[in-house]
Amino acid sequence: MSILEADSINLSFGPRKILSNVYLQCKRGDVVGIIGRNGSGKSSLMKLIFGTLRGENQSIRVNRQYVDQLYKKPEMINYLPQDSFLMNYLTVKQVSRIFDAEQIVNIEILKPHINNRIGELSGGLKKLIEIFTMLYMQSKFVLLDEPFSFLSPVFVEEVSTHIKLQSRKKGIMLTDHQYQSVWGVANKYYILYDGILREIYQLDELEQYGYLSNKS
Amino acid sequence: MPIPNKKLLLGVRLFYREYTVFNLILTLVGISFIMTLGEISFIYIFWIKSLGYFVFGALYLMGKRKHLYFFHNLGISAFSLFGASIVLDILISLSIFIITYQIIYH
Repeated sequence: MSILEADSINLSFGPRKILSNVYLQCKRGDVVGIIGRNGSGKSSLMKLIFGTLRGENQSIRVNRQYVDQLYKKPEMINYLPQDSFLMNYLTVKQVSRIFDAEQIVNIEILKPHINNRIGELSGGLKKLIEIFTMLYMQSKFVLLDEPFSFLSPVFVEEVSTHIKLQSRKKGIMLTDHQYQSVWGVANKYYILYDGILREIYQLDELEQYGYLSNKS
Repeated sequence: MPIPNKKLLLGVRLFYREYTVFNLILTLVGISFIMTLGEISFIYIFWIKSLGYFVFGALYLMGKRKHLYFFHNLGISAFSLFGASIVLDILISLSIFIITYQIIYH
């Protein structure tokens, strides 16, 4: 079984400490949900694991073996960034072929749009295609940075179903502002607070770390 | 495992498409230089092209940086992408300029 470990991660932007001695592990079957306030370092953590951002120090290991710039091994990992990254002139079918994720053309909700160009789709559908492409690539791990943003409730439900489905084959890490969506789909939860990653087990711990106000 | 060459070629092809118009303009400028200045124009073309790569790189990183994740998800680094695209463009442009020079002056 493949194990992805992110260890001893430290990151600062100028005098501001973003991540402090973070350790995180993800195995096949895990859906790791990372919750945190805006600017808490969730996306930075994802980019550090993916290998497109360097911290002061970090050790990314797959099966106990150190890997530098993990993204150079697409059979190992892929990453859904917050911003749309697909070129508008490509069709959905072309995208599925380029990323070896042909299975997405069989997803009912996408079927009517298979021959559409990305630029012709709504923001929500575009995001949906990006999420499914990343989920159905032939990699062992997938990082989803705010997958539920800009999605309608029906799409959130659809994405949650496919995350659970694909977690049987791979390890998944996700972050989002909508903690309710993350809470429904993940099986391990962490909160990033003051640069430190803490595992949480109950929703009321979100109040304790200032993610939710006491009123909610 | 190194990046499969097929993916790199595909990435370069898609990346190259991103700056076709920009490139076409530079190539036409180069051709006009050859037509008016002759052999010496190659020095100017070299500098125009070099500046062009720099300007394009800067514009791309400012405006389309998010598209880099498209290539990263194929296992391609920004360095490989820019490097391979520049090599490809040098080969294509040089061929065009030499052919143009041959047609006009020989």
